[in-house]
Amino acid sequence: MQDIRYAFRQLAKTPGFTLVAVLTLALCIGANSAVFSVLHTILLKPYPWPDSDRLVYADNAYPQLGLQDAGVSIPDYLDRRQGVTSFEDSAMYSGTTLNLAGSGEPQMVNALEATPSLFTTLRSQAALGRTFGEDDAKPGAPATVVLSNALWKKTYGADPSIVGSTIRLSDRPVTVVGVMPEGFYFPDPTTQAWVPFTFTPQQVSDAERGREYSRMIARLKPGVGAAAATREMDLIQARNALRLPNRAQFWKAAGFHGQAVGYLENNVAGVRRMLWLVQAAVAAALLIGCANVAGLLLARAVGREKELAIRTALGASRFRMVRLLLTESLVLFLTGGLLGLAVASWGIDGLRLIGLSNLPRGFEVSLDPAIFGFTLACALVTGLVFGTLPALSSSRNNPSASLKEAGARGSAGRRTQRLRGALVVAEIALAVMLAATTSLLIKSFITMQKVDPGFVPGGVMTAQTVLPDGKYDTPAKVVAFHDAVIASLAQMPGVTAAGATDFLPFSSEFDSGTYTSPDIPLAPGAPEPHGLQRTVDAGYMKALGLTVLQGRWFNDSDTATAHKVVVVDRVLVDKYWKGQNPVGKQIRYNKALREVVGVVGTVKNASLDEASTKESLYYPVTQLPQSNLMFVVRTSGKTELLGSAISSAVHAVDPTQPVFNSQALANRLDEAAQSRRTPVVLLSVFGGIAMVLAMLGVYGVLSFSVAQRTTEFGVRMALGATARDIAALVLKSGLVLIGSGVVLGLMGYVALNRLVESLLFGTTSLDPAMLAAAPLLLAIVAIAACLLPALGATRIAPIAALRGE
Amino acid sequence: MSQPLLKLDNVTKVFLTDEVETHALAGIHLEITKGEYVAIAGPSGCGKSTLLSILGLLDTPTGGTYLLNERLVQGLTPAERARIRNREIGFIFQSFNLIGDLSVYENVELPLTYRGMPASDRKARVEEALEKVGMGHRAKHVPSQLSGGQQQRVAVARALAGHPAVLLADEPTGNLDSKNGDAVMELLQSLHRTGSTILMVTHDTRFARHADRTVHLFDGRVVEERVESKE
Repeated sequence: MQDIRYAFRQLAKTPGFTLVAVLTLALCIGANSAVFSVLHTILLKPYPWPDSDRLVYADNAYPQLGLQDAGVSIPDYLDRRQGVTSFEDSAMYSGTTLNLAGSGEPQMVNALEATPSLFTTLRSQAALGRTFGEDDAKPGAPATVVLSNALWKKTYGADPSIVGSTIRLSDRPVTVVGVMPEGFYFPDPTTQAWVPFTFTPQQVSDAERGREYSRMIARLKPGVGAAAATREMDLIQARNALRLPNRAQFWKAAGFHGQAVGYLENNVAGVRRMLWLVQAAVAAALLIGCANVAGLLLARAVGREKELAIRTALGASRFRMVRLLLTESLVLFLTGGLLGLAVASWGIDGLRLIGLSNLPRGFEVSLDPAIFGFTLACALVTGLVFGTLPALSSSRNNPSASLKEAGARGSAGRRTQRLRGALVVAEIALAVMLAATTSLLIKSFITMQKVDPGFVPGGVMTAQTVLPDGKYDTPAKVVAFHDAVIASLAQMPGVTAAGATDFLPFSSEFDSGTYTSPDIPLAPGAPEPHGLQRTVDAGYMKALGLTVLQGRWFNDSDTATAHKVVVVDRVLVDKYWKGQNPVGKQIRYNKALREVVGVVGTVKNASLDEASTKESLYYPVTQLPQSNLMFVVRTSGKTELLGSAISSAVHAVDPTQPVFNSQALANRLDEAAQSRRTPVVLLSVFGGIAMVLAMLGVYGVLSFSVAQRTTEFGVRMALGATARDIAALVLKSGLVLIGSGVVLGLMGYVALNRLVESLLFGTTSLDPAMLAAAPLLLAIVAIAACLLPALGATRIAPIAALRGE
Repeated sequence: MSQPLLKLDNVTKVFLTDEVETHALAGIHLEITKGEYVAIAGPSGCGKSTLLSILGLLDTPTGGTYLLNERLVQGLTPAERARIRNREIGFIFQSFNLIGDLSVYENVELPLTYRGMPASDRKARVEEALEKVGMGHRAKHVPSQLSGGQQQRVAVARALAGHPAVLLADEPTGNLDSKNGDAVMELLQSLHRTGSTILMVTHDTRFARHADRTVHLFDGRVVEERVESKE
């Protein structure tokens, strides 16, 4: 207790030192806590369903077609639900949108079609009413819905009587059977309602295999691993292959199999490495900050040598001295940690601004008790580690020498100098590693931004509508709706082109499937071609800005009854018809043979850095109508104004039809780049902090050195050294530190470069220009940090320096 | 009569501290010829060290003129002053002022490196100087491994290595016991006998007697000059 009181008194005596140290620690610990709160929530924290670590996806994969995550068909789901003994429970679900008609404007509701077993698999119950029973999913059963807590509150004002009442969803009467509790979500909080997944006799037949529009989730039995479930799925697949020899050949060629993969593991796979990298970067910044504070503690201890010597002379043991000094450090680090919590809170707000919510589970990130614990542990551990070093060093002084002032300054000063030098070398090494990584990620990002998406995103507005099956129950009705909306859009002032598609690039949704062609000879056992399938209209090409490379795009002559046509992209041509004229060749898709009438350029589908290996096939909406319509409108005016224009055009045709997902195309590209931009921004910020801290370290150690060596400089001047000689001496010692740090940092980076490799695009982790540029920039800044102490040294008057002895 | 090596004419030095003027030196006239051994004596605070600093170009006088080797040294740039210190003056300090991180050899070599002398020439000079003070066998040691007397001998070697025109010694025995002090005085005496010009500040009249002449300072003025009798 006495030590703690004394520690506070000592820190209050040197407010400048205390302020700098506490702020440095608050910034570094706070940044670590903020990033750890993200990492913890996304990678480490269990989902909010009991024993969520036992939940797995049980989907299909076609590795030979480049499809690792293909979803599941209804027969596959039923096979696995009944046949995999490793599963305690399982469910199948599929995303959908429903039109909720109420008193106001029609509302689009994000919903999930789910088997009744979803809620038992998740072990979750309704807060009001009930979840689904098996009867709810039987064909012909009355339509039911379970509402999310948020939808219940927002739309029905938390009215408990809603349970049991009937609402209109997509033009059908539906009974609300339950409301889920606050905080429940599946698969994410954007889901507002759950409706039963009903299987028709046709859907459960073998004919349905390959229609993988859903996902399967299962709960493993306690103590059973995912691998055991995968083995059971393999056995089922082997039995199916024997039973269905016609399909077996394709399955074998495509490498088709079912696989159980951890639910959390699968959801976060895309961000895991990047999050650890950012955490490592911010930890490096913390180490640098701590090294700086340790350096300050060492310098401060030199000024207190006499006090410590007196304590020793009065009988204080070394343990007692270390305890005293360590207590001071811990008080400092814990104060920094407490302030760090505020920094972490602001940091999380800042992270939200740069796209935290776009990360899986990003919406869950908050300062929870685990983060408090982490922050406390961070402050304690760093305080112990970085406080022990100066405490041990300072408590080693020879009291008799320390009490003789002149003699004391030499030995302790030199030892302190060496320790501080070592700390600064470590700081620079870490900063170099960080700078090298950051510069490569920046280069990757810039390279990616230069990639041509295959269309012209500027000046294009997009918005979506989903036509309900009941009301639009014939292809003709869908086409008529489409034509009317497009005609209305085309007449709007400033609109230069208007079109529609079912799946827009960069909209997070796509449809892929196999096709065949009499013009694509397949080797025996080879998998059927597999590509992205898109339904589009005549205006889509101009509205999106696609380039027709050969043949033609669709036009008004491609009617429902006309000769079936298809447009393919360059990837398909390069893959199968290189050197041939593709126009006139034929493709079979959706049971119809279609003639290739044109070839368009390659379009990026989900991100600019993806490899364009999957071909795209385009079909006219007239010949393959889809209820999912994404309108694409190009304007010569302001893009933002078109959002409401699309809504107006849709409502003019059908006032009950909700329009949603309204967004400029350029924004969609921007969002897709977020997964690369966010870490680049974070690493740049932390790299910048690390660099500033390292420079402060260099400056601090050299200033201390100049102060310690004043007498020596006086002697050197007396012996004939000029001011330039002295400045060179200081700069040289700075350069030795910087050079050692840069070399060590580069060695460290080269040793760990493989960790960065998978995160790069258009560059390698050992890009010589970047590896030279980052340390060079750092070295230049570090040399600038040396100049001030060096200039200070030149102003030392030799006589004053000698008198100072 | 030969020209004096050092000549001070009406040199004054005033320190300003908190708007209070302190006259450290008040009209000093002093001439030292080549080969002379002069002691400057006086009580503490009389201006001995200030005078030595001005003579060694570590400080500048407030008034008067100072000629070193017939050259007016006032108004020289810091670089020119550094060059003169390096080539024409050898310093011996009371607390030795050896650089702890450098070996004995490197300490002695230091003034020669500032001169840009080739390494081979430096080696010869350093070995010669160390032999002269009897420290050749300790060349690789660092100062902390030497006794006070040995450290001062190394400091003398460092002052000698550059073959300066004059050796300025500031209380060279001040931090030594009487035995080591006598040994250092003996060393200076022998250097003088071989032709070195020496100016030594001391408050110990016993050591002042080793010099040819003793200049007594009091309150910044020369109050007495006495030629020591050599019996």
